[in-house]
Amino acid sequence: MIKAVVVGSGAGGAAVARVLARSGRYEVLVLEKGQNYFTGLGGPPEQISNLWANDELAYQVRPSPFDQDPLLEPRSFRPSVSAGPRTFVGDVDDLPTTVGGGTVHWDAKARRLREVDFMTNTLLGGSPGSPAIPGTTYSDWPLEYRHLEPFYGLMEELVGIQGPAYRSSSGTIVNPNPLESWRSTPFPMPPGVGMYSDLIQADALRRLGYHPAPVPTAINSRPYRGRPACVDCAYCIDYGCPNNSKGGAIWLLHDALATGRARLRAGSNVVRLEMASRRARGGLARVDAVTYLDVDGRSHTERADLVVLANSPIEAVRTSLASGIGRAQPDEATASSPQPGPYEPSGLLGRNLMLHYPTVVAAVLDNRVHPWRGRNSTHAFDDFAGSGPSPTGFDPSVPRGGITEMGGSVLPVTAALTLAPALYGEAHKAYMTGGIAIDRGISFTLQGEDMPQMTNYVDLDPEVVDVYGEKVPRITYSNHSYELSAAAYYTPKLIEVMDAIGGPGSEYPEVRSGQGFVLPSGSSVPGDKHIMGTHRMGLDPASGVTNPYGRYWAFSNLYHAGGGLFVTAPGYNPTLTIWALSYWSAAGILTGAAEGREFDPSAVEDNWHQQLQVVRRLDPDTMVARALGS
Amino acid sequence: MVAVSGEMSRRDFLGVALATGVVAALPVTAASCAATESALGQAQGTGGFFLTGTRRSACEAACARIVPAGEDPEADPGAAQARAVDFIDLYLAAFELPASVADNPAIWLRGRYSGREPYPDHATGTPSRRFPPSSFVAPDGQRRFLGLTRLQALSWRTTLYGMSALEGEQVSRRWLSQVGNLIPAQNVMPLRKMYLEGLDALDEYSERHLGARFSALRSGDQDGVLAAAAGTNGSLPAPPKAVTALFPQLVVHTFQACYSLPEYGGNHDRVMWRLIGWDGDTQPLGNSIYDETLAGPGEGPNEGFGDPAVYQPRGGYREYRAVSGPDTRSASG
Repeated sequence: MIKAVVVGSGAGGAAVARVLARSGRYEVLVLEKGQNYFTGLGGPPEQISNLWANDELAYQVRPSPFDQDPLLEPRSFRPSVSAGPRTFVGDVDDLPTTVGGGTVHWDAKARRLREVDFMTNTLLGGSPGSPAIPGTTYSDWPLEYRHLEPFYGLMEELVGIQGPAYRSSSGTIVNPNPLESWRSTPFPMPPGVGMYSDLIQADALRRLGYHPAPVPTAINSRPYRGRPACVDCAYCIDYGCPNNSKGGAIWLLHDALATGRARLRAGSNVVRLEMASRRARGGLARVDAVTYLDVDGRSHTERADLVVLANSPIEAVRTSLASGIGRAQPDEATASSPQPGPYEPSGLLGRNLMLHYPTVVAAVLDNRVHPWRGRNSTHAFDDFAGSGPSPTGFDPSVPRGGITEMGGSVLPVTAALTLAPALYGEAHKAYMTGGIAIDRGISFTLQGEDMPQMTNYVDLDPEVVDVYGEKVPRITYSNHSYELSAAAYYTPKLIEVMDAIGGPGSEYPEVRSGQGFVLPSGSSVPGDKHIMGTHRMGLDPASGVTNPYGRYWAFSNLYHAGGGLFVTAPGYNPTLTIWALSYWSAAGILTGAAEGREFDPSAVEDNWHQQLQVVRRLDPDTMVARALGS
Repeated sequence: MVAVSGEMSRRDFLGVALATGVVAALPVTAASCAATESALGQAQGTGGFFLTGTRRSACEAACARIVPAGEDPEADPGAAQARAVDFIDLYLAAFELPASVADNPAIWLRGRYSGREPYPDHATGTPSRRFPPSSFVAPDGQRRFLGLTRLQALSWRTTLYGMSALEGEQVSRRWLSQVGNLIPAQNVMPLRKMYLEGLDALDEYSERHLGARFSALRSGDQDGVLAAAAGTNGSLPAPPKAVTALFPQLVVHTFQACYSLPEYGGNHDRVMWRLIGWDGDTQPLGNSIYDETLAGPGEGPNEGFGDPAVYQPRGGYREYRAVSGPDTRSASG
């Protein structure tokens, strides 16, 4: 058996662990820094329990059980190299640290990218090595939508996604959302109950000619794979689901553990990769162990034949840099150029950090529309994501924004605290009993595409250390004018929709709109949980940190899994693409495709047919495998 | 905490609502202040682990003005009826509670359910008569909290006790030397000290300027003292730093006490949830009940989803509390 060590149990790590464990050729050890709040994983699904609760204080008010502590484990931030070594130390884009990673607290929106999103640079008039958008490293992906499509469908089945696309009686797929790309399989479950507030917003959108639709979501709308249907309890985003109705990495990890060939070790903080003294075939370097600290700070070393860094785009850079891969700090004077370092021929490790640029437009309605009952948000519209979904008829003049999610209310403690300490006494009571924040506030959140830039990067802070004495990641990040312009372009359109809500002529004449207003972002320090880039994949070392399967170019057995691989950051929630890419990568490992030294599109094509064989063999009882045929 | 992400941005919602004057337009009822006085001192429960004697009285009285009750405290309760002081006391004593009160430091309750809501009955689409036992409180009254890792305990101890909590702990010396310098330490507030010194100073200040301890003042005078602590009352001299530093924390903790799960010590008998029309923790019943005999709704029929050879969804929903339409219980604006 080949021993794989997977660092991190979130979306990327759990998906890779599942495929490797099911192959029968690997024994898998998943090392997770956070704690395990689940019991019974790997056993009968209906006996799996957890320690989550409908507890606003624990999960939205106090630092939560899965928050990284900004004092004990800080990160540092600066907007640019000219700002000095750092301008802030604390929580910078921290993702939850727990078994299941960022897919415990999420509200489980599981979106596919579109055909155009994999080839936008070409569609906008760029070419390889020549970004269509000045001042960026905009580039096509090394694979196309059609390659990833079966993996998207597979992950929709394995995790359990509800969504509107179904199979008609004639066998064709009907997708009520015309702005999504073609698909070969339907969703396994239909959409659940739509939230009143979202239905009101969707009605206004439709009257203005937009295309709102139920949003694909990893939450059971029917009993599925041994887990119950969602009860729309209202405690969704930021909460683990007490009911186990929310899908996430945890259920892929469960599948891995159920094989008997995977183990999970929580409370294991991997700080170093150990280099093998002997190189692999072809002169490639090898990692032969990882060193981790347990919860008491004791150091342990675990041997490994294969290592997958799936501890987030930011932490994976930190682990690699701390292990002597690449340059711990780039030369700042030439930060806009690639800077190759030890074991890192691309010079791109940590670069092109991308987030989403959120634009939030809110309104306070005259009516109580209880926007808290439900799954946080049940509808979205994709009209502002840029031209698409098909390359045919692509209009390069349309700004690329992103999907827009509906929703907006807050729960009561948060509502009260938002105005603390200024508003207390009688005024506080009137505010709370009036239901302003809780019952009447609604919003649109546009997840704007963020441009890849060489000067947005993660390195090791030269001084700041954490409670263990380990150097912390430093984030250097500023927005590009592209995403700011796109946000400015779409903001008045969002306000127009807000102002059209309810009233005479609508399906909800009883509802009267307040006036839409823009909600400014609260801080200059990045806090977004949609984290991409830093490990861009490419066909050769000049275009990416890893090959198209996530392998570091200089290593025979070191991989990244997760959002780090993204080449661009289209304005869609990234997790489903992380999952699809993780299955893609793991299948590439199993077929040997990932061991290749150089790639061209025809090699990717040939490998793809082999990767699909893995799907047929490991997951034969799926709609996707049946659609693929034998 | 920084919360800038699109996913989290709904938390920031009200900051702007305030800026746009929505709140300023609110009707503020002139409720009698006298009613709350009689309610003071009635609170009983877990209290008295850390805040005792005059400090407890001062804290309780201040909470009662931060979230005041109306003329009829039963119909229009406030922090006194919610027993906010018990919440604050339990928090400040989180690491020192006897085993009869809590099994672990009283920071995060351990899930899954409170036992207040029944399981749904999927055969009928209605609430069943089966209730899960409370996960939060054992039959003998012991509250159940998540066990803390070493790091989590360190973090919470520094919040409550300050940097002295790190003495004797295995931490990096280099890190320790950076705390307060490279690494900002303003989030390390010795909260217990802040309460003791702040409440003592509040009483001293009240005696000096208004002739009685804070808890013995008339409610109008109490409001004046708190406004002075908030910096919005020019007719009283500026209170000492211990008071002005405590005040914002006290507001924050009183709000937390009033609207969080009652098992944390406040929101006694869910009085504040009832007041604002909040359903509270609704698991495992929730708001919509899956019914295996229905063909819908949801936004689509079951046909066409899944694959009959692999998986075929069935069933639909009944909405126990309105999810997709107006809520008849609280429909008025």
